[in-house]
Amino acid sequence: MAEFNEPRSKATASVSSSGNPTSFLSRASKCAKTLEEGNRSLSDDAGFAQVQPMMEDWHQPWLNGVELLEDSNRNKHFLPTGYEGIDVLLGGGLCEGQLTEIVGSSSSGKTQVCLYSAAHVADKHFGVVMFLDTCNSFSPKRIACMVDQLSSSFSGEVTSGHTKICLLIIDSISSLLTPVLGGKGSEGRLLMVSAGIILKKLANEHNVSVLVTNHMVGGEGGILKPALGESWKSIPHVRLQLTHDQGSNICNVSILKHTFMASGRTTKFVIHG
Amino acid sequence: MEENPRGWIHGDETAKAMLARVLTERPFLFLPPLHRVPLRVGNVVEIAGPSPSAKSQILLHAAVHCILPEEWKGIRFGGLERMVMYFDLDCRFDVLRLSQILKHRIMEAYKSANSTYWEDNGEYQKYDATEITQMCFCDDELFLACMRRFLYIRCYSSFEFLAALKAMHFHLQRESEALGVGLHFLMIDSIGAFYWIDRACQPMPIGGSKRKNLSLQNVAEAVVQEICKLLQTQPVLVLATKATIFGAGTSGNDAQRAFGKWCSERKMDSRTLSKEGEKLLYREYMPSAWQSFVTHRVRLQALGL
Repeated sequence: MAEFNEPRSKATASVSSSGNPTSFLSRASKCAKTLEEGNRSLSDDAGFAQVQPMMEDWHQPWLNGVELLEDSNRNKHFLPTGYEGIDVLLGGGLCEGQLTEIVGSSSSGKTQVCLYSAAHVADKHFGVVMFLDTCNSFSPKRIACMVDQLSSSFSGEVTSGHTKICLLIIDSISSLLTPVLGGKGSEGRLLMVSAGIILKKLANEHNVSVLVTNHMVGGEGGILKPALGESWKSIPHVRLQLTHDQGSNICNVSILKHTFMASGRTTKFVIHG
Repeated sequence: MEENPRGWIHGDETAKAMLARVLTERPFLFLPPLHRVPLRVGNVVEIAGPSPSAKSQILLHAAVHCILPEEWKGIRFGGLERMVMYFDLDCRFDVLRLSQILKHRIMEAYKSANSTYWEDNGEYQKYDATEITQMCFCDDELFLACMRRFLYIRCYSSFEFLAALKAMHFHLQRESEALGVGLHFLMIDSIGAFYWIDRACQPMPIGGSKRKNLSLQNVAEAVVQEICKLLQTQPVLVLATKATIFGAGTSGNDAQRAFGKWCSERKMDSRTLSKEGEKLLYREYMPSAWQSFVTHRVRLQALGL
C-alpha cells in the first residue's frame, strides 16, 4: 500500500504551518458557505488554492455529460466480431472502453468466437489485437485459416497501419481466477476485483475493448451457472451466454447483461470452419 | 439577551408553521420507479440488489428526471432543472444509455404536447414518427443543456473516492456559477465496489500515532463524514447502489445447508428473503458507520425472465 503513503506525506509537508490537514480542509469546506455570505477570507482561499492543484492529481478528472458523449463518439468505437448475429445483438460489436464477457460450457464456441473476432479485427485493420491464452486453446493454424478466408473477400486496400492495441482477448480468465477463489480467505475475491478494476481502467484510458471468457459450473438443482460467483457479476459491462446444439454448427447467444440492451435477447449465428 | 424569561420558553413557531415551511423548502420527490417512496433532500437512500436487477437504471432515470427542465419552449417536461453528481465507483457507466433515456423522455414530452394541442383545437392529427424525431433533434440545445448538468467522475480506489469527495465542493461551486443551478442529487454507483480491497488492507501505522490507519471502518467513516459536510452546506438527496454479496465461500447449495450454522454466528447480520420457495441470503457487509448513515433502504429482486 505504498501508494497511499506518498500523497498524504506531500500534503503534510506543504501545509505544515496550518497543522493537521484534515482540519484545514474542513475549514476550506466551510469557506464555501462564508463566500455565499459575502465574507471573503483571503487567507483561507489562497491556502486552499495551494492544496487544490495537488488534490487534482489524486483523483480522476471531473467530466460532464457533454464531454462524456464527445469522448464516446470520438474514441469509443464498436469493433465488429465478424458474426453478424452477435454484432446486431451488441448494437454494433464489441465496444471499446468496455469489458465484455462470454460465458459458455465447454465446446460451446467461446474460443471460436474469440479467434474469429481477433482475425476479423486484425484483417479489417482496426488496430492491433492482443490475445492472452491461458488454457492452451490458441491455434495458429485455425487463425491462418480464418485470415485466409477473410482476406479472399477483402478488397485489398490497405488503410493506414494502426499500431495501437484496440482489442485485448483473455481466454479464459476463469481458469486463472478459480484456483484462487474459494476457501475461507477473501484474497481470491480481492484478486478478482482488482483484476476487474485494472482491466476496466485499461479499457477506458487506452480505448481498448477487453473480451474475456468464462466457463460454467453446476449450481442448485443441477442447472449450470457462470463461474466466478456473485462478486464477478457486477464487474463486466456486457455478459453474453453461448450455447451450442450438438452436431450442428448453429450457436445460440443470449444477453445476460448489457449497458443499454435488454437482457434476455437471443439470436443465432453460424460458426464457420 | 432575552430580558423576559417567558421569551425563553415560548416557541419560535408552531408545529403547523414549521411543517409548512419545511415542506415548501424541501418538498417530497417521487422518482419514477420508486414513486411509492417519498424522498426529500437530506435523505440517504441505499438501493441494494443482486447483480441483474435494475439498480443503475433507477439512478439513471432519477438523473434524467433531475436534469430535465420544468418547461422548455412551451412544452412541459416536469423536471427539476438541477445538477446531478455521479460517482462511478464500479466504472460501468455508459453514457449512451443515459442519452438514450434522455432522448426518450424528450420525445415522449413532445408527443404528448402535440397530441394535446391538436385535441384542444378540435382536430386530431397524428404526426409521423420521423417528423417528431426531426422536431426534437433540431432542438439539440435542450439535450446539450441537460447533459451539461450531469457531472461525472470515476474512481478506481477508495483513496480516489475520498479525494474526489474532499475536492467536490470547490468544483461544484465553479459549476454552479457557470450553469446557474444548484446540486440536487448525489449518486454513488456501488458503494461496496471496493469492499474486498479495503477489507484486506492491513491496518498499518502511517507516520505518527495521530494518523488513522487505513481500514474498512475508517474509510467508511471518512466517506460518511465528507458527505455530512456536504449536506450541511448544500442539501442534496444521496442515492447509492449496493451489490449484494452472499456469504464468503458458499454457493447457492451451500447457503441453504449452512443457513442453520449462520444463524448461530453472531458476527454476520444475515437476512432471509423467500422468493418463490428459494431462500436467498443477503449479507449486510457495509461497516456500521455507513449502515447508520443510511435513512432509506430499498431492496430489489429480479423476478426472472
